[in-house]
Amino acid sequence: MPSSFDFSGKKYLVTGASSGLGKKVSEMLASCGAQVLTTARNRNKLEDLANNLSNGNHLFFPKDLMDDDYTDLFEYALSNGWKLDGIVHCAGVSPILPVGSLTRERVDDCMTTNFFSFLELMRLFSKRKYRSEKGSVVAVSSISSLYPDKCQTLYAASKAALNTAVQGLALELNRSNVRVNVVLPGSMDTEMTRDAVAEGRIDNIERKLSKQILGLSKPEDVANVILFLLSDLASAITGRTIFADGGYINF
Amino acid sequence: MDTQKKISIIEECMDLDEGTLTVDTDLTGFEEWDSVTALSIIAMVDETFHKTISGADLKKAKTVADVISLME
Repeated sequence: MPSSFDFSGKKYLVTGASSGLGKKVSEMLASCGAQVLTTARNRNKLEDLANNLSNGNHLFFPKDLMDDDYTDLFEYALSNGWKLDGIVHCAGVSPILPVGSLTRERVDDCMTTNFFSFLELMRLFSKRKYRSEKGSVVAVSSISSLYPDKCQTLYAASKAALNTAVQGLALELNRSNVRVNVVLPGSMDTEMTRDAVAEGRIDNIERKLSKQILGLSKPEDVANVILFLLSDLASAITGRTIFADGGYINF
Repeated sequence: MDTQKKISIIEECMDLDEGTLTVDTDLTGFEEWDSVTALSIIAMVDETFHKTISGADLKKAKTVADVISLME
């Protein structure tokens, strides 16, 4: 079913665009008339995606979010005459690690990809020259940020950091007409989930999945919530955690 | 650094369009001239000029020229 939003004339940056939720968000934004600047590490996947997004005039920029500075990404948009209407931060890793394995290096990697990257995106997006008159930012967190399992300490903390950060950011950026929210998906039918199940890294995976009373979510169902938050329909929502978790009541 | 660049720094901290401020502009009339802006300017001055200025210094500043004189 096509999405019911109209994003004609809008321009969005989507991170983690080469797969899973990021890819789905990019596709749906494009089919709703938006122009999308996609970024991820994999140049080939990005190029393929950009060429296949509907309605043309999209950009892509390969970028490793482990870099300290994302100025080049934003300058690329600006140099193409783009003032961004928003950002969707889908990039992320979901390490399953027992506490004894939480070396500084592993912790740094996860925190950087999942959280520090978001702060760097916001540092640049806060600069007027990169932005349109009004903006909406959505970061992708996880229901695990509130209800983590064993070995999800690092992942959960990195996502919980997003949940809190959007509040301060919403307060500061309100005067710039930028809303900042976070979406909490549950388990989705994506490569990331299929890998985790196949590798048997998660105990009680069936029990966890059964708590999601609506079942495994389709990425487009979560993407629709993201599109809603980007749209003017969500004008009364900022600084909030929005659940798109398939009804994970955690009974 | 030339004066125009310094003015641009202040405009960026206040989230104003480039060209909004001149050396003589009275900042106290702006809604954006608040404590968050003060913190942004302190951070920018530290980063750009490696100079520490205080909130108290900025509170005394009334015009763009006053802020520029704190910069270097």
